[in-house]
Amino acid sequence: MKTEPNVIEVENLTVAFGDFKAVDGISFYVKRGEIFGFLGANGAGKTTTIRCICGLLNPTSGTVLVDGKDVSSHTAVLKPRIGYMSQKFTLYPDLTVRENLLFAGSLYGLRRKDIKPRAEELMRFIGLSQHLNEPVKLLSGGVKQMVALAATLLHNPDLIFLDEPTAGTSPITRADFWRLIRTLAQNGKTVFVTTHYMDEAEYCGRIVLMERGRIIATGTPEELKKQFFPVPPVELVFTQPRQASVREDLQRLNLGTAENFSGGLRVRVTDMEGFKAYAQTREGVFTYRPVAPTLEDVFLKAVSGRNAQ
Amino acid sequence: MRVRPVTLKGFFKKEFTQILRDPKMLFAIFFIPLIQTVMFGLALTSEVKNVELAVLAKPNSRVARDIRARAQASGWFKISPVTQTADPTLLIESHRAEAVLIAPKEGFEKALERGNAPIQLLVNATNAQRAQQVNGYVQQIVAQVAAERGYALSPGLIQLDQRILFNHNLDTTSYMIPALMVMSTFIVLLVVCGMAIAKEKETGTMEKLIASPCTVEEIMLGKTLPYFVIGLVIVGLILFVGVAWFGIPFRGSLWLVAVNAGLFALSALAVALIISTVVSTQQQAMMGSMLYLLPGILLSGVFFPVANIPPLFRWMCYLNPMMYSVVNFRAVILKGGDTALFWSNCFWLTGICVVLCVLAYKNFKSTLN
Repeated sequence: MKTEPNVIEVENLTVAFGDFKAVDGISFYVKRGEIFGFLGANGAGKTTTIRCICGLLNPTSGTVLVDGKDVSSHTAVLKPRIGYMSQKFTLYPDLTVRENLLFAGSLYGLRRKDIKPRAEELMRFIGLSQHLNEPVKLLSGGVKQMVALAATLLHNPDLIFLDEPTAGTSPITRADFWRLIRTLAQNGKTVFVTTHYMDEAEYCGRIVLMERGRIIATGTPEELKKQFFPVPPVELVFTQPRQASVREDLQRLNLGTAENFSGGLRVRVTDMEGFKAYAQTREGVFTYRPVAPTLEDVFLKAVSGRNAQ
Repeated sequence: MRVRPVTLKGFFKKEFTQILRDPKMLFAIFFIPLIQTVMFGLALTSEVKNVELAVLAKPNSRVARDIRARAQASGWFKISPVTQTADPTLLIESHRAEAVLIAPKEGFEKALERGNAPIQLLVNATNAQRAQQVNGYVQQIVAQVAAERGYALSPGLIQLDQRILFNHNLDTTSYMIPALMVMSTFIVLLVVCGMAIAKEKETGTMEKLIASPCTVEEIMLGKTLPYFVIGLVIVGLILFVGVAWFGIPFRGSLWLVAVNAGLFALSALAVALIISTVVSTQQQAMMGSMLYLLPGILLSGVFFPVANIPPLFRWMCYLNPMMYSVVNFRAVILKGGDTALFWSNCFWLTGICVVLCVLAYKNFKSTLN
């Protein structure tokens, strides 16, 4: 991975709408062939950043380079290489899948006779060939998203931007989607994906965490977990009926923050020695074991850490 | 500036498929103009009929008798039974007559002999347009009676309205349908094209267009040219119904009709584009179109002659692309065309089109970027 060149380089990118800074001086890079995850709550500035990289929005300040070329002055060269699946639904519901794909192809200057085999190949790739002649409005939500992905891939772009592709779809569709994303990356495509499902972020090669226009963490999922959890979180199971005082004690003694989960508490321990000492004083009330942190833990800790500042 | 035929073809195919598949759209585009044509052709004639006319003259006046008989026979008038001594103003105020023709003191006969006696006509002018027509009819009848009785009328006493010349029966259908070809088509193009662009914005599909390597010109042409074709079809449809069903005379050339139709369709689409740059939903596009259409139609000469509009507002008529095309269609279809007038109108229309298109292009480009 490390030997691959940077395909996207973002330097000090700022996008302001009036006084509001949607993106506030962020910098990051994306390597060729990687699955790059862009994480954050709604309104964190993910979509704005993508729109800048795709050349749909001019930055207020800062630079966005794709293959070393400035995006705002090379849009005509870069656009054919980019496949952008917007968060908004960009298919025409009254047209069939085939008609949508043909139109999407014509936008990229593809001829009908060239699109037809490509469209069929793509529909086989996403496993939905049987829907080719159905109007899009009759398809289920998940299938619609899949078709939107096909329309995005039609012109064979090498840079693929997926803005919350799995929002509101079933777990099965999400799994299918990620299977496809991995296949795309294996074929050398660079996939830039935003999501607010933290479990999905585990599939990404590298991740950027955004909050209110700023990057609050960046790295591989493993790096982030190590960085934010030198001490692993602890799952605490009550052996007696649940005791509310435990949670209060943890907070009072400043040992960590706890959340309820079935049968106990999940504690992001800040002071392991202190916690162990406390656990001894409550012997027989609960047992505990350290667990591997999830990206959700990372995100919550990163956000709460910033808010505490 | 780049326009790829493949992309334009893609847009044409898509727009037509969407229209043909949507019954509401088909209805709006083709049936509404048809219904308007039929309505204006059959029902909404502003032709004057059954006007209550009173003729005040000496009881034994033969001319007055002839005027009454001829007026009654024309079908335009009903004669109110009144006496010579009735107060003409009161007759009108009390709605017992809409028009009162008053013989001079010496009587119709003497006045006509002298050739220049004032024959007074009072008309209820609440409806100015109707009053003008009534005035025309009465003058016509008096002239006919005078001619029949062998009086030589001094020129200038009877003046016929200029507009009646090419529409001998004052047949409003012939007068309205050419104007309707402009009005209906303009409405449909403005609303449908404006909404089609707003729809791409509203549903988010515009994002896909902008993200693709499509140029601004391709998106603009792709979203308007299909409607240009539709506009020409509507013009043809109304003309066909007008000639085949309502029997309006078609004295001009089809190609002049096409030139005029092309020019005003272009101006309508430019206005639609301009509206679409300031709105973001279909509903707003609809409102924007209405905001333009209401004054646009009133100041186009479709219903009210431009000459009757006060100078304060008349200059707006000259900025209105509809006005030129209405005049041109009426001229080409009913008269066969006054070439000089036609081309001078086309000249101004082209000027307006160029300004509108440049504005539309600039606005569209800046909102897309």
